[in-house]
Amino acid sequence: MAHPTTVDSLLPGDHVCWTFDDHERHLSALVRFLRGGLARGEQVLYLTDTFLPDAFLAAAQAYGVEVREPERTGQLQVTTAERSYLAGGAFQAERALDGWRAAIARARGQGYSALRVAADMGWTVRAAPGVERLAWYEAQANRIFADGYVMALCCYDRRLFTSAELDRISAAHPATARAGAGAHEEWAPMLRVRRDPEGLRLAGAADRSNSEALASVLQALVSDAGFLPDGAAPLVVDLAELTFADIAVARLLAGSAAAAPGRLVLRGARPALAELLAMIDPARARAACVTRSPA
Amino acid sequence: MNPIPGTTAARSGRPLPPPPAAARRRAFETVGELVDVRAFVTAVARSAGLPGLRVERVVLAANEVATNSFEHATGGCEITMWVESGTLVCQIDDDGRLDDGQLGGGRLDDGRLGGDGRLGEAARVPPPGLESRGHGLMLVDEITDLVRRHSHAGGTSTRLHFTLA
Repeated sequence: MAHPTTVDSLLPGDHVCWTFDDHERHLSALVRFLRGGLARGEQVLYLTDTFLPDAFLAAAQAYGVEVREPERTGQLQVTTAERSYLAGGAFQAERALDGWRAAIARARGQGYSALRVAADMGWTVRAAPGVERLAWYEAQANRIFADGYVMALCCYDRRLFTSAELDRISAAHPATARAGAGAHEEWAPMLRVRRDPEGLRLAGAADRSNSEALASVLQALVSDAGFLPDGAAPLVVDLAELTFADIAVARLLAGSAAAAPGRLVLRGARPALAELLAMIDPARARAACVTRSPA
Repeated sequence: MNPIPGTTAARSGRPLPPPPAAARRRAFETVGELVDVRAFVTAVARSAGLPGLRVERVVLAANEVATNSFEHATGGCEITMWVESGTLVCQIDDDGRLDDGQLGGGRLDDGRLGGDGRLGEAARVPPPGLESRGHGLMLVDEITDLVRRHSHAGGTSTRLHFTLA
């Protein structure tokens, strides 16, 4: 399982599939996660499928985190996954996504610097209507989290999922903390995806293990580009910190630029990626190597 | 493109000669280990003396073949790397079988190579659906000096050759 210290590497905007197979370490990671958030003045939500909320709060208190005051003010909220994701009996992916947008608006309105969310995902293996859309939901959620305000830790108990199921769910997250992550060397999310008014910034590596997450965000960006007023500066996909892209990801990037000509451009590709883009789409590849801010 | 050493220029339908005993070898199980695939291949390619951008080509090609293994084979893949006759060789073994779908235009390994072991122009005709995985494997052919694929009872071996000079 992933080491509890891996949660210390997360930043607002990260969306991580965090795998575990023992509740002691799961609890330890959750406590670190909430301690870090409270210390930074962030709002912290934990949607538990593992502990009774009161039992979790007592455990966190026993670990030395002062939870009573933040719980009273609403800075810390612990509720069950059943009461959130499955309110109404079924999992409605669109409603859940709207729920995140509303939670972000509330947290921003209350002045929190970020919204930190830990969610146990074990409820998805129980036969609730709608859970077959889980991977779609996780991929869509990246469009919201990429804005850089939410740090989302999705906790998946490896004992509840087949490895094929976990691979599919992982691919909808920009990063996964797998078994052994952080145990021997410092762990960092494989890919960071950030949306800002200028476009998208990608940092890290993109391959088959996380490309569904990227595909979802790029699809939204293409759609946004279509709504740019004529003559507006194009949206930019900044590739300067993308250290690896596999062939399918390069095709995805080239395809996004081709789908919104003049409205969405690739910039800053490193030499290896620039070479790959040139093989895929020679016409646009030269522009992709240009750094984002010409001196 | 550099000439291919004669010892590796046999038609790919034939069994490949076994890797040398001193080859570096590592097994990978899931798509989540692609990051480890890249670290392993990077380390071996660098130690073979390849310059940076060419190391990245080796990594890109190996990553693609390994991705294909994770998606089409059941037991992950094993990567074996060594240097022979001025060539860095990276072999990816899995328990899957090559089929038309994987190679786009129905190009099976017997038709892969011309008599001199070089890629023929036929290998570069794009498949009809650009979204297919086959297109990825064709790009592997583009960035690799020589690709040999061999299907056998136990699965498929893909041997990527990169000249060091």
